[in-house]
Amino acid sequence: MWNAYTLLFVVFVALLLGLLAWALRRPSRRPPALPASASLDELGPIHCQHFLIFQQVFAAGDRKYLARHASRRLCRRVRAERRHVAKQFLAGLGEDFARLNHLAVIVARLSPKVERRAEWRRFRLVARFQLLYAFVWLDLALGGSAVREIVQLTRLIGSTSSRLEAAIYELGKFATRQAETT
Amino acid sequence: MTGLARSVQWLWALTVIVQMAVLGLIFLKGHFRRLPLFTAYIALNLCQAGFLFVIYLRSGFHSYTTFLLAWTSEAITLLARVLATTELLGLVLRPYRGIWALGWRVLAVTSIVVLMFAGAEAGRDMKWAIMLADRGFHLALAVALVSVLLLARYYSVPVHRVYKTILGGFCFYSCTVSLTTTFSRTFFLHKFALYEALWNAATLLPYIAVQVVWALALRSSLPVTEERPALLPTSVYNEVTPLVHARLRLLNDRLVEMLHI
Repeated sequence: MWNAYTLLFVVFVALLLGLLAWALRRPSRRPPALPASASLDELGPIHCQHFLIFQQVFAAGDRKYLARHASRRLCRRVRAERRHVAKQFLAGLGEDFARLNHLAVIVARLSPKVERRAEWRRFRLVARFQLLYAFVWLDLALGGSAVREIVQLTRLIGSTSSRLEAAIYELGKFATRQAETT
Repeated sequence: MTGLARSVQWLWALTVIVQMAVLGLIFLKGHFRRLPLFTAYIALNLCQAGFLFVIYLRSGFHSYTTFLLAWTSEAITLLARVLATTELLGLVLRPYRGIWALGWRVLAVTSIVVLMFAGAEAGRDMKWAIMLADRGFHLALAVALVSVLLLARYYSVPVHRVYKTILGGFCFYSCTVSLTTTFSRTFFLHKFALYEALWNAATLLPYIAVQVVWALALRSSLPVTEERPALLPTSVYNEVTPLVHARLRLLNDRLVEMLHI
């Protein structure tokens, strides 16, 4: 009685209803407003600030020393703990990514003009990041050695460019002006 | 009314009652000032019910005149629905000029794509052309609405509870009409005896449900003044966006390297 086309159509409409429910559900957090200038620093990367500690924990010298002088059991335990730390740090990097994206969303929302292409590009970047992030997390969970790469990644996010800082500063000035007028 | 089952007549009467309740609430609460097109849509639906009642009495349920006039009135109410939806979306998104500019493009593109698909499909089956075109139209409206609501969610644009309920109702109803038409066609083609009664019930019941939900929502007040957020100078967007994108892109590249993809 039901052909493939009908079934496909039903699935499509069901998907549409699911998306509608998701779009209409109450947001888990309050809509982001333009933050006060004092909290603008929070929009930049935070977890990257712990980069030095992270680097120290993963110093290659320590690993070599342990391999020479410690038992296999201890080495295994250290490796497992390092992986755990790496995972937590990766989660922090994810938050930093989300924070950067959040900044872009606020700016786009409050801009009188947004670029279609730029917004689409960011949407794709976010989707891609989510996917890749999941893969790296899985890699770490399965005992992979992505630690070196995380160090590189951290350097990257942590080095907030002066131009971005200047833009955030401008945003802060605007927020202050708005606060004064209201 | 010849040709209409008693149960359908009851459902129809119920539809008129809930629509009148919705219209009454709109005027009682003064929502008509803020939502003139939505008010017109509800009023037009009531007029359509009265019009169809007269047509069915005079020409019967299955005559060609009835068919022609009923679908003409349906086309007019569909147009009113589009206008009401656009009005609501405008109220939600227009204060955010950039997002609204993006939103109406999304609305236009998704509608055109789905309508083209619906048009092609309706053209393939002339016997069901009008029904399929109607289904395509409802589907286009649902897709466009969901796209814009997703956009609003992505940008965390606040949507008032009443607007959310009305828009959700429009979308839900359009989805059910699309499904009903699909199932009806299958039932009709397989000569299912209760096809007509089922079609009527499946169309009217969701409509009544939506009207009831709207009536409940419309008891609340609408925002007194339209939210007018202070917008940033365009230069900030032009400055910040490429920088953030560059950072996000680099992050992605590094993640790719980490995975050696």
